[in-house]
Amino acid sequence: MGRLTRFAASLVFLSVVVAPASAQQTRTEQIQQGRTEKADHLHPYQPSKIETFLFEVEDHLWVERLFNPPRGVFARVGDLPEGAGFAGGPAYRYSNQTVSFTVSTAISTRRYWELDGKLAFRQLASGRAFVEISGRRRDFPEEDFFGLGPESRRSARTNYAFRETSIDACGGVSPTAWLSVAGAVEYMTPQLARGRDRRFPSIDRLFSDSTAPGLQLQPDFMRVGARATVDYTDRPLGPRSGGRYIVSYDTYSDRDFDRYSFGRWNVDMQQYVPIVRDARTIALRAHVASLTPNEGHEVPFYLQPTLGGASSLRGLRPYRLRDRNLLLLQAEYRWEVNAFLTGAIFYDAGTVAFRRRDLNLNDLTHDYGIGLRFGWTSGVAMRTEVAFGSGEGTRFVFRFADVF
Amino acid sequence: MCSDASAPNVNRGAGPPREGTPGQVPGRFLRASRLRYVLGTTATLAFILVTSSHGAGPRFYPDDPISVDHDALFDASGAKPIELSETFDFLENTFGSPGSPGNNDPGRALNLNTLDEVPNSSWFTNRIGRRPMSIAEIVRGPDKFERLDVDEWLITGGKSPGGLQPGFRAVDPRHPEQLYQLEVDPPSHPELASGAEIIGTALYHAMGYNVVDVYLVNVDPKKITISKKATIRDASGRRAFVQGDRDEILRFAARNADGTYRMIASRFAEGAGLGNFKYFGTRPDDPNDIYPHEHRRELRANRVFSAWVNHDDSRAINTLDMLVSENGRKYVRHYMFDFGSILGSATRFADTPRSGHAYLLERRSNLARLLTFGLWLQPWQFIDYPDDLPSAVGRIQGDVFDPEQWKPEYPNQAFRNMRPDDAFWGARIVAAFSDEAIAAVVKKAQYTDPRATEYLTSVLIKRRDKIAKVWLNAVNPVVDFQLAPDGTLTFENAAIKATAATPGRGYTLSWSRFDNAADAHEPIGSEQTVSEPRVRAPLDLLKGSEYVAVTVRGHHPEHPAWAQPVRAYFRPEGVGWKTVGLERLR
Repeated sequence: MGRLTRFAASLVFLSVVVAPASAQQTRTEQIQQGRTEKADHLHPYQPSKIETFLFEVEDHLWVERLFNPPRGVFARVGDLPEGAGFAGGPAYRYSNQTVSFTVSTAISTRRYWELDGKLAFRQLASGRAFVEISGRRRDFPEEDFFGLGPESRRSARTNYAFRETSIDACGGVSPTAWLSVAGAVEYMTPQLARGRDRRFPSIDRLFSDSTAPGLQLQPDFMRVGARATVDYTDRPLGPRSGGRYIVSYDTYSDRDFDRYSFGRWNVDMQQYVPIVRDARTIALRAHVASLTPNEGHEVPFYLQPTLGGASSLRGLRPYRLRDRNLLLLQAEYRWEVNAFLTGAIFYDAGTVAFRRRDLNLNDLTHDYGIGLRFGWTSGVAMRTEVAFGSGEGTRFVFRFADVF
Repeated sequence: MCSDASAPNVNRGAGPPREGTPGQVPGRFLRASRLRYVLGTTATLAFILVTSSHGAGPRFYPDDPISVDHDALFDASGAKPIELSETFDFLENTFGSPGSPGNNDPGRALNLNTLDEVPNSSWFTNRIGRRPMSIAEIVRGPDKFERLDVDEWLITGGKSPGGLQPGFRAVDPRHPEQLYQLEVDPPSHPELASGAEIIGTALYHAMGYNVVDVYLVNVDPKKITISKKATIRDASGRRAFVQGDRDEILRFAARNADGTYRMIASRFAEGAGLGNFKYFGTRPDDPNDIYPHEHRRELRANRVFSAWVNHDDSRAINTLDMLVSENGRKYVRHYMFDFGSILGSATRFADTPRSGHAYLLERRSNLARLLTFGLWLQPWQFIDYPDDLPSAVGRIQGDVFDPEQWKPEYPNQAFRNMRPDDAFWGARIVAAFSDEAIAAVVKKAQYTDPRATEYLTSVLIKRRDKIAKVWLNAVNPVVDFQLAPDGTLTFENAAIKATAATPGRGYTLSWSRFDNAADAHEPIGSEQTVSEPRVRAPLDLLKGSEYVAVTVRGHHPEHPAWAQPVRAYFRPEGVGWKTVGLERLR
């Protein structure tokens, strides 16, 4: 029915309703007259297509069904290294209350791909313990490498292809709500090849095994590690108060050449300080990674920690700085605009060094910027930021995950 | 029905989009809706004219004032479940103005009798404040049983997707036809949601709404079994409900020291579910539903009740329509339900400080906060909440509570339409809860820590008093007019009765003879000024009058609204006079 028709019908309706009102003898009759007339024109509630669509999405849990269902085929989105481009692929999961089996693939617009499978027992010891076994095959054809050390040049950008098959098992317990400890063992078979990004030279054009250890030979590795986490944040995602501290140590054993074995310490400390409760938060993070090779051994460059990208020094390209030791300091002032939007002003500083004692606060690369985070109480669903001050231009960040 | 002119006596602008809008993008949809709301407003205004005492026809009918709106007379068996989208409801109410435009005077509520009261109906039953209610009756609420023992019960399935509280559905094998939904409290906040549910159910029942029975039960996992036919629906579809599902639910539940679990058992309401009702428009498939919901006083004034208990989740998704049978006829009964997130509870955790103070989205304040990098703060962001209370208590306080500033999670058209006379009606009901009644209702929640009981009782009393002070004085609070056979007029002052105001400087009264057919007043005598709500009517007025009216203005230096005229109408009945009308003039 057109609008004018409806309007005309409204006027007719009004004349009909007004006229007979005085004809009624009682209030009850007057009221029931309205019902009598309505009874002749009943029709079902007809939601708009938008409302119908949204109801279907909610009622059938389409978002969860498409991206994270308990059972069946679903779509994996992302979860490849930064710089891989947009990634996605099919996945399948079967899970019940005790066991979950997931196999997934992801292929990106920059020809990265990964095949991943995981068997998880999550509810052991009344939910306080878990065991996972997983394996993956990955091919990352154009990983960036700028050289080692804090003085590496932006103009020295090269790329290499990284392939790996790995299998690992890990398990952990949470004796309390705020403490968890976990251990893992992993067998890795990394392989390098010429980078396929034609915009930049392949790594072998500018670097050698002496400037990029591990470039010529890639052994298999056995990783054995342990991790302890203390977490008393007020919520697992997007915390507003509390602290989260993670300490881990892993040993990487060269299984082929007795040349590239090393140990790696990681300390990650996050502290969230509320200012006027949920309205504003100061989020602080200090991350230190230190790799120590066995006597006479080297640390392969492709297993060394890096700085740069959306989660560390946002003013630098991903993997821009790399070396055996890493220091990253981040501070964010976050303010809640509304329940769905949070603003952030951030400052990042960090450096890498060959020797641990060379990590100091005097020669930090830094950046600063501003951004917006979209999400809900369940955390950040999407963030967009702009970073300045690194000396390497302005960088824009667009990610579907929180920074830390 | 907002776009369907064929349905009589309903607000054409009151419904969600219908024909003509499918497939449109939201912006266009909103513009189209706006047009229909304009058209609908025209119809609404006409409806007000027809049904109000100022419209065509006599002001009073012989059966005025009606105490019951017989809205179960027409058969509604054709009504079908309405499936509302939670997201759409949020978008529609946040970015649109469904129903009557909120920035104009929405007019007097439509479902009132001539005494400015709400007749009993399928929506509302006058209880506290309108008839004596013992504390025991208030506490018991809608419950059919004294208590419920769920030992040996049978789990028949999981909850429907959605909702924040984990739980399952179960029956007593001896009465398998009656279904219950059992829900747990979160481990970090034992008793938080269940306590709120118990208190909210009892209060809303006493206020007059239809609510479902809710019981506190202790569930021993060893004594409850799972039906072989039990199923659960998740994102992957429907499947068998197994012990692991039960264990998963209990894993996220607060556990008692003896290994049992305190849970809420909600008794499924009688009849067939018809989904939710919106706070605007009417059901197009229910012949009895003729008053646009945004013009129903009990829905407008629910803002008062929601403010009292901080029911910030008062929206369509927490309402329920049931098709019930009576005398071979089917009609729709309307319920309020799900009170687990009142009293500062967000069901699984305490509410955010924003709760009750700001909408989820607000253009001006959000922009100010964005542009000032969060340095611009609103007063509610500085409110201190006690930090030494048990976790069963959510984020709620009574000391700096401002009833007029209270807001639900997102705009609610009926709340937007609430006028001072609606608020006054609601505030009288809130004020009718005595300290003892409030304490008894809170005690029903059986909080383990007495500090929780004491704190919530005191908060509800403080908030009740603030509501009474604000909204009982927002109009001229004179009520309950009686004209005795000897011509003695008495009335009450609801604000003074509720100790929400001190006695003022008296009242000015003027009398008139009222011609019901011509809707005309003939002033009689001169104005009378009295200090007490008791006065003799002019004797020559009473002789031979078909109707007499008295207009009363109050005088109080602190409450200018007392000066608004209130007019009461009387009609001879037997040897005396019957109060047939009350108008709050503006």
